[in-house]
Amino acid sequence: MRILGIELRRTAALVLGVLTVVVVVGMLQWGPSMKNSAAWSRQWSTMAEWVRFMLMIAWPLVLGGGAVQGLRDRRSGVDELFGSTPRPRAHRVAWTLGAVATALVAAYAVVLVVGAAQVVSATDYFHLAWLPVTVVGVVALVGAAALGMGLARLVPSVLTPPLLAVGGLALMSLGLGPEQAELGWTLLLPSLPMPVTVYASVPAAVSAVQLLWFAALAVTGFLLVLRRWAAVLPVLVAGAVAVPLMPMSAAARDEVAAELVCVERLCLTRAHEHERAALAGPAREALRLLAKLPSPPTSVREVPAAVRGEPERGPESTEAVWVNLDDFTYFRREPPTAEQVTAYLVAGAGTRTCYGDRIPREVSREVAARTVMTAWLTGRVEPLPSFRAWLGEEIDALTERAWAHLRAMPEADQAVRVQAAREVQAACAGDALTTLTGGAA
Amino acid sequence: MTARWLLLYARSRQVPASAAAVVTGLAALASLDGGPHVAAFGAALGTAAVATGFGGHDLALDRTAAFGWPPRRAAHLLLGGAVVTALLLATGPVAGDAFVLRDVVGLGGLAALAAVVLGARAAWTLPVGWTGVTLVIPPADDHWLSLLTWPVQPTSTTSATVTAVVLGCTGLLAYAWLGCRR
Amino acid sequence: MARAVSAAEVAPTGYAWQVEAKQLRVRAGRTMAVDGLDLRLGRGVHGLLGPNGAGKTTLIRSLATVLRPASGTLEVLGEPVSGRVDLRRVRRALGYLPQDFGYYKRFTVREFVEYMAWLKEMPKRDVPGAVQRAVERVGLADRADSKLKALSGGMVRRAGIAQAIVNDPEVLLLDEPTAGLDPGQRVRFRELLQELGSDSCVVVSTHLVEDVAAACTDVVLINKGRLVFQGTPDDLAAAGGADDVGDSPLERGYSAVLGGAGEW
Repeated sequence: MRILGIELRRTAALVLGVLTVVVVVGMLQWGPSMKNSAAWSRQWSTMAEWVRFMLMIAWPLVLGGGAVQGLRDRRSGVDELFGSTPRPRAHRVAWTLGAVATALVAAYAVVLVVGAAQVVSATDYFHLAWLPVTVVGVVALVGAAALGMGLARLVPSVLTPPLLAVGGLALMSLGLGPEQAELGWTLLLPSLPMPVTVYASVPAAVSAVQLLWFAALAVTGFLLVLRRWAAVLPVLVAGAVAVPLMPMSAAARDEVAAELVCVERLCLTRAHEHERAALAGPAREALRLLAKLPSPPTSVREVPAAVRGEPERGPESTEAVWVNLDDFTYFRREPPTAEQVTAYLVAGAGTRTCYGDRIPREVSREVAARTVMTAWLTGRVEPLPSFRAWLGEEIDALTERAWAHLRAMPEADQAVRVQAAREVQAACAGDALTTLTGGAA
Repeated sequence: MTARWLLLYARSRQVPASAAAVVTGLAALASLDGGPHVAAFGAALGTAAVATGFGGHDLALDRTAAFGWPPRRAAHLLLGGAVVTALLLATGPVAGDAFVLRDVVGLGGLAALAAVVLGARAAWTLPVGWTGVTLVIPPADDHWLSLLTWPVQPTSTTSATVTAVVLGCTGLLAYAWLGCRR
Repeated sequence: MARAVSAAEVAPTGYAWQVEAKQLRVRAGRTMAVDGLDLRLGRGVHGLLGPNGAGKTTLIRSLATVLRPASGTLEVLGEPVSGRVDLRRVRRALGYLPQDFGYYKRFTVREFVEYMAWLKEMPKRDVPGAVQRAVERVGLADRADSKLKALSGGMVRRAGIAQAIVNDPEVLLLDEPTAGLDPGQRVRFRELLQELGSDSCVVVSTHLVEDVAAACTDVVLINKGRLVFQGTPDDLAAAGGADDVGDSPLERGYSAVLGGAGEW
């Protein structure tokens, strides 16, 4: 234990640990990982996956850091002296590696604690699927240090650490593309794709194969430091086992997280049960306003979809107000007020937009129709929460004409028109503005 | 005489080995089709390799040399940067001249700063680490974060160019003036 | 038998000499640096003398079990030092200060000596006391918690001696231990040598004949890989005549035995 203490104090271990914490927490806390429902601070699974995503930078740095450590014996010229001592080289290497591993495990734990402290107060959905993802990450990080040490022992040059680090980064960049989910071999990288949904988890099979692979990498690194030729065996065997066994996708749908729980006509997924307190009031208010329709929706139901999902949605039943909380950036540092949530739920008479990430040319007609439907329910013509500024004038003109046209009709006809437009909008089939005005505007 | 001095100096700082390693590394990077990321990695690799030669084997001995080091250190950094730029343009991943130049200037300055603060052996960490950051931060994010991803911004981004020039000048001055940490 | 006797307990009686070499040949690179050496060393301080390239360092390295003999036999503490034998027991009883003493610069003196004690597989509970004693014996107690990189050359050399003696070795091998020591430290070092030589076999390689005169009980002179003289310092002094090269009787004896006199 005393030797571990000495090595902890006098090796690159602590520097590597602190570096890992600073880089990973820094990137997570101020990077793009705080924005939506899949933020690292909101769900256990996304926390674990975001930390794994950050291995994209931490893993190559630890690889290089391990190489710096691996050059120590060469740099210090201790081989002569140590060669005369009885203790096997494996013990010595094991304690050095042990010190580095201790620091890295502690660093990983610190990162998780920072995340968990936020997650605990952000969700009620607890499950243990994050644990295998984390274990794989820890083993991968320790494996990076071992591999770096081993490779530096093999090629003892001052250039080895930077070459390894840059090589590692280049390797990681291969896993960056959107097509990576389909390429099985990218799952052999320590990083996971950027999480985009809370309704998926990493399949246990993926974690199991990855664990095998990274454990083998660590053993290879360890044997390389000892300069055993057997070092290539673990990595070859693990590769031969891991590549054919590796599932083709890093994500499996988490049905439990996506399951809807309905209380008083508000149905939320288990993952977002925590939001019920904030959403119950606005949902009740929205349903009260929508009751003006001839056949009003009877519940508010959450859509369990990815943050950036399909470019367009399919038809949705008119019996409910469907809501994807990410559509109106519900999950941000400053949560929206109850009024803003209500306004969003009522927008388009309780329908979602048909356009997704891809904005079609006729978007202003859809926005205008949704604005008029909302105005008919609330009695006030107001820009929608998702109002698009650069088309403002066009939308305003369309809205004004349609609103005047609708208002000119008898009260009963108005209700029929709005109900029909709502159905068109819900089905995403046809032009709601035409339905609303009878083709007049 | 000057040529001979340069040759000896080059050998004392492991220049031939560095150059060979860098060329191999760049060729490997060029075989990836990775766009700005890979180009930035090339620049990081080049500057990191130059940085490993920033300190002599025996700093105390170097310090006793009878001539002034600051101009020579500055020349070393500038010359190294020029060679890396030339190598990158010749063999490196496909990128525009201005892009390569900006990244070499900025990352070279970072490497020099790291050499002053951390020593030559760890001087690669800052340039390599910062280019690594661009992997995890999407380049098209908000203004603050786009400054963080300067090595992969298009050359038209003024803030990226300014960042690179500031880093380059600070690094050059600090290294020429102070030299490597022991 | 009343009680079990461990191998370690009976071992010291198992050999007559701490070091015994017969027709020893050891390669250093391409040359045969030790070439047919016969040598027996027991308790005491043995000064290993010889011109540059005589094979002193190669001999010490093979005694330290770092190099293996090419032929002949070498027994240290009664155990053969050769290719396939497990040397752990011998190595536990060795202390070695190489000519180029490599050390971890970021360790403190105490940490490095403790690390070496661990590498020598000393029993855990003995380590802290042994480290303190070793550091005190070389006079580094007040600098024990300084990092090695902050020490002067002489202090590093003393730290090197401290790590060599931390395990109270039965065979202590010191290659040029006085390099970098100032005169005062050298005197104290000679005292330490005499102390150590009273109950173990100390081999000191040196260029300085005066060190031998002051501290050694025995002189071993080798040239071109062979033993040319072994005896007390007085014997060596007696071998020299008035017309041999040298400023002291010992130096003259040295020149006389080597024959070629003051050759470089």
